[in-house]
Amino acid sequence: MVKKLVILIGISIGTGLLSRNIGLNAHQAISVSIFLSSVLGTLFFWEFRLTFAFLGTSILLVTETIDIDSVIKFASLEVILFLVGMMVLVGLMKDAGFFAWLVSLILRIKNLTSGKFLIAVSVISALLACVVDEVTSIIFVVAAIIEICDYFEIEPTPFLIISVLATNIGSSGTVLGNPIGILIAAKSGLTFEDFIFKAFPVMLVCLFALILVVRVWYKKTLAELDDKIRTFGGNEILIKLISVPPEKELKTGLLIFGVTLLFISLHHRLEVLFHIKPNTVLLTIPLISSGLVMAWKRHKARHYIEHDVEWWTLLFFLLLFAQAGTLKYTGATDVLAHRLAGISGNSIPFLTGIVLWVATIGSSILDNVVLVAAFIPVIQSFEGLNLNLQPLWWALLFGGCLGGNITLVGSTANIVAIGILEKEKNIHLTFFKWFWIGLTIGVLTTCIVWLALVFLPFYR
Amino acid sequence: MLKKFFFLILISVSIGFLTMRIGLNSHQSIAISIFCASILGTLFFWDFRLSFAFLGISVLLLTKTTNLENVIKFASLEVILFLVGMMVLVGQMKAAGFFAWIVQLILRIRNMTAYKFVIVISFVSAILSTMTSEVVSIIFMVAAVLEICDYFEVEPLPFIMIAIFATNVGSAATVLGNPIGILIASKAGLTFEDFIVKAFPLAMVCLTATVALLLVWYRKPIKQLEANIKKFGANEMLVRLISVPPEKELKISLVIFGVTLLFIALHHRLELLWGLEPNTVLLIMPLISSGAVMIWKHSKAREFIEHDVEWWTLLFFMLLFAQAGTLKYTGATDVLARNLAGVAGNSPSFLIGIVLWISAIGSSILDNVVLVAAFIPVIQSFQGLNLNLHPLWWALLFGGCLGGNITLVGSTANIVALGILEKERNIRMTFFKWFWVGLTVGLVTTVFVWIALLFLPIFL
Repeated sequence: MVKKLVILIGISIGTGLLSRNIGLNAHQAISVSIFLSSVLGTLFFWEFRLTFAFLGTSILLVTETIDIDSVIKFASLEVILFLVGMMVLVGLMKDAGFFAWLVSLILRIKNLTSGKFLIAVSVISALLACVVDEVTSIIFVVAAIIEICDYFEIEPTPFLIISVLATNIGSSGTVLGNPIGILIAAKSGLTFEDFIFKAFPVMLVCLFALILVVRVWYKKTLAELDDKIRTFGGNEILIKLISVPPEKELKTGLLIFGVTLLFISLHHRLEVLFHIKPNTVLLTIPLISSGLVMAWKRHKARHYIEHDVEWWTLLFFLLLFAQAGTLKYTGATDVLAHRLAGISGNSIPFLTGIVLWVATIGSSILDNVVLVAAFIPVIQSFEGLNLNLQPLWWALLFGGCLGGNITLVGSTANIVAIGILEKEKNIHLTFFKWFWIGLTIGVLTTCIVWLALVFLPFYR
Repeated sequence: MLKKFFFLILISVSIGFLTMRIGLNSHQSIAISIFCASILGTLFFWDFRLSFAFLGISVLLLTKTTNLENVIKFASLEVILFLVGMMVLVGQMKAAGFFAWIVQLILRIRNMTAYKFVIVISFVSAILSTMTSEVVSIIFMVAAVLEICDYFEVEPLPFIMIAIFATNVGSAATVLGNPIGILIASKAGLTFEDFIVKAFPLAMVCLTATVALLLVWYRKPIKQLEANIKKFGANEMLVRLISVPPEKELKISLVIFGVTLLFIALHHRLELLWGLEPNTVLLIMPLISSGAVMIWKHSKAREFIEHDVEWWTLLFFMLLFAQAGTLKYTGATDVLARNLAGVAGNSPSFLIGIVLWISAIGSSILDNVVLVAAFIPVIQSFQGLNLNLHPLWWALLFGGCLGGNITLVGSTANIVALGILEKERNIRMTFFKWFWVGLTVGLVTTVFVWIALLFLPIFL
């Protein structure tokens, strides 16, 4: 551990000094090296990454690299409050049995075949990740997969990998799928409708590609499942065993969630209609819904806030956003943006490619929120260079989500799913067992997005 | 419950209309009536007060009474982060056995007499609450008092009340004693040294007065304790039973906490020395120390953040601060300040009296943070009227802390201590059993402060 700590500090300071040499001023160099140490902190010391965020922000303040007012401004409390609200809602849905109900729907598919199962698992994983967050969605889909695979006595790993891949792809479909979705929406001014029209279709194409590839890749497993289904005579018994009718509480929960989604999807129109500032409705809707939920389930209000809200992660985000904001505040990202624009000769397709691939490869190793937080000010700086930013935002979104598929630590969903597999089935996944399929899917889907962003006039 | 709810809405709306009538504009009225709803929410629906904060802030945003930037600015994230850091530190102190160690120091007093006991528990309660926070301090003091009273077979209630009163009085003495301390310090620009030089001595005078008063009020139970001590032959047995030598972990924690306190105490000088903005060192010191604690105890880092930090309360504070900020943003508090100043005829001494007594009486019913959050923008508005604000800030601080003694729901410390008493000993407190002694203590100490603020030149 001490060795890692020394490496972390060494690299951060080294990069700071280096960037000083290539022409950044002292404050810019400090902000770069502090941000880097937070990035490395998440890589080396995942369990106590918050420490680096605490200490880093303190150093930035003490060295006057940034002031308290700017820290507060860049911490993006509005994004955090949005996530708090959504987490409370998802907590309610969990309590009301929404996910168990959904799982029972998968288990009860009539005339189950391996092909049907594959499609059901991928599509439901992707769509669920679109509306709730990827971590919650993967927990429940994995539960369903383990149940089915146990019943038919086959290895769950391939299906688990498929569902994780689909979840990561699906999380790019809307504002709600991934913290980077709302972060990008809040900073770029993109609306929920933009996401539905531009991100969602591309996501579906990627999902389709995924299904095609894994059908071939896991041919043997699928054939085996078909065999087992024939010998066991389908899942009739399972159907009879499980039949969870949606209860009243679940219906009310679904109604609240549905209305919330409706308002979120109409947020832009409502804002235009009532002349409210952009994104105000988007960001307040979860607060209203969760406020109502807490009044309705008032005995559990405190429980929702204390247990369903991931404070550890949110606090880390808060400070991370502030540190990324410092990069902008000191002008370090302007310098980077200039350089990048210089290299690419102000050509948007070239820049789109760079952003997309850097984001993809970066988020295969790093938490995608860390990466996107750092990239946002860079893209904002391009604005000063009179460039059209839209394709760059989409490149960032898709890169951040799709890159998570490449390695088994690429996104939180991967880590959570693999953790469950280890705990429940004692199956340990090796790096390379994941890597080849992950890389294939990651590269393939990123290429699809690249083509779409560069050639479809829609995205310009 | 429904009745209470209608009552709440009715009062808030009618206050809104009333203020419209007396000349406030619509945004100012909305801000006032929403803030009023949040206040009544804490009064009527303590268990889910956060609902009202969520909904209130949403209404303010949707009616364009405030905007996202202002919500973020007024949410005072810096104060919240300060409290997060302090809570992590206190969590570590708890885990290291600091409080158990203090408790056993009290239990092991040599040649115990009833008077000694009362004086020791009052001063230890007060000092603990100035350094950690009143809630943490009272939990451990109650444990100590119950232990001693059990040993000597006397009724614990009077001694518990003495500890509570002392805790509330003590919490006014430094920036750390009460959330309102750091809130006032950061908004008023008062330093830790100001608190030590001005608030601390005054709090000690109040404490002495409180102890003297309580020694007379509870002379019977004290006499009883004295008799029992003679009968049981002092606490030699207890002394021998409990002897917790401070462990290594506790010593390290004490050093960290001590260094933190030292830096906090010197924050103003350090800021001047390094040319930093006011309060930067004060606000980041807890972040640095808690960051260090989380590296040291890295396997418990997550637990500190998730269990020792009171997120429920902090989230409520954040939104409450934002709502109080809206009062300022819309100019409602300017109007109020001007009217108050008009009533007072611009006489500072009259204003001091008003602020002191309103906050003392107000915080006997309300959470003192709610009250102080509302009052801060009013006092800031006096600045425009060329008044000396210093005595007003002290009046607010002392009113908010001392008023908590008046009723049994006046401060969180009261509620927590009585809750423990109910759970452990099944002793129920009635309103009036508390009220007479609480009122006496509250009035006497507030009068002391009033005299000091009016006549001592140090406060002018």
